[in-house]
Amino acid sequence: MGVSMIPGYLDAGPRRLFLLRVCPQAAPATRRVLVVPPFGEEMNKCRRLLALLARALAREGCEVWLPDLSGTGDSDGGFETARWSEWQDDLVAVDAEASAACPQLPVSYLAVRSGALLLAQIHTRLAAFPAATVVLWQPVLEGARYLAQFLRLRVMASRLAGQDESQQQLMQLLSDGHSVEVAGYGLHPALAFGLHEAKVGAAEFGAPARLTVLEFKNGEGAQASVPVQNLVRDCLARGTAARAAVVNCDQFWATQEIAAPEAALAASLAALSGHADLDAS
Amino acid sequence: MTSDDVCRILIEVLGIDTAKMQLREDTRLLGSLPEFDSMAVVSVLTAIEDHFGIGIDDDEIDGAIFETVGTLSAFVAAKLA
Repeated sequence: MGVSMIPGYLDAGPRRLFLLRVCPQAAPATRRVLVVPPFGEEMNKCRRLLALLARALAREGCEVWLPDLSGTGDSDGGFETARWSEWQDDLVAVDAEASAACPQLPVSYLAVRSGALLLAQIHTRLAAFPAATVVLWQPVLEGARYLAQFLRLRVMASRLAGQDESQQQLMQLLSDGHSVEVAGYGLHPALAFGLHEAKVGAAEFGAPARLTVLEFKNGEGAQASVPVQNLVRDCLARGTAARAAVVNCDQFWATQEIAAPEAALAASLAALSGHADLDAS
Repeated sequence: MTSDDVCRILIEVLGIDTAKMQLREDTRLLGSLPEFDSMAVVSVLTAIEDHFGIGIDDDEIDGAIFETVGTLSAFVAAKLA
C-alpha cells in the first residue's frame, strides 16, 4: 500500500509547530500513532529511523504523527526558547488535533528516550491513554541523571580546552537564571529544571492497556537495564500488561553515523501496530 | 554479575572486537587502550549509569577507577552495595 508523507503546521496556543503526518494512501487509517520525540541531538539522529518506521506503519494502515516540539526541528523558535512545560502542552495539543483528525481510532504512543518523561507527565491529559498501546525506546526515567549526562558533555569539552568547570557550577548558573550552552544547544533554566525534576516510575505511567519497553544494545544476550526491569515489574504488579525486550543493534540515538537498524524497525513495528505480541527475549 | 555487565558495556561502547581481544579483570584501560579516550570515558559513564540506574558525580571520577576492568567493576559494585 502506498503512503503519503504530509508536512504541515499546527498551532499549540501561541506556538506554531511543525508536524509530519504519514498516512496510508489507498484506505482510511485503522490506527493512529503519536511519536513523542527525544531531546536535542538525539532527535536528529533518530529522524531517519522514525521516518522509515512511520512509512512501514502507514503501509500497515496506521496514521503516524511526528511533531517537532517548540524550539526544535522545523517548529518555530530556536532551542533557547524551548521550555519543558511548553513541550508538555505542545504534545497535548498535537494529540488533541490527532484525535480530532482520526476519531475513534485505537491509539499507540511511541516515546523516544526522554520522551518517556514527557509522556508519563501528560498522560492524564490524553483521553486515549488508558486504552492505548505505549512503546518506549530506551527510556530516560530519571531526568536529573539525563541532565547531568548532558552537562557532562560541556564539562568534558571544557576540560579538553584546559578550563575547569564542574556540574555544580553549571547547575548554579542555571539556578541563578542563566542559560547554559552545551554542545551547541542553549539550555534555558526552565527547560533544565523541568527535565531535572522529571522522574517516572510505574505510578507515573498510569495504566495504559499495553506497555512495551524496547532497549537496544549491541551483542547477544544483553539484559534490560535495572531501571527498566524495575519499571516493568512495578507495572505488572499494578495490573498493566507490561514487558521489556532488548533488541540487538546499534544505539541509533547516539551513533556518530546515522543508523536505522532493521532490527529496531522490526521490533517497533510489531510492538506498535497492535498486532501479535512481541517476543520478550 | 556486575563485572560481566561492565565488560559488555566496555565492549559495546569502545567497539572492541572480542575475536581479537578478550577483556579480563586485569586488562588495562585508561592510558593503555587507544579507544579509551576522554569521550569514551563520558560514554562509558553514561552507559554504566543507565544500565545500573546509578548516578556518578564528577568528584567520584578519577583516573584510578579506569585503571583496569577490575578497578572499574569494583567501583560500580561499591556504588550498588
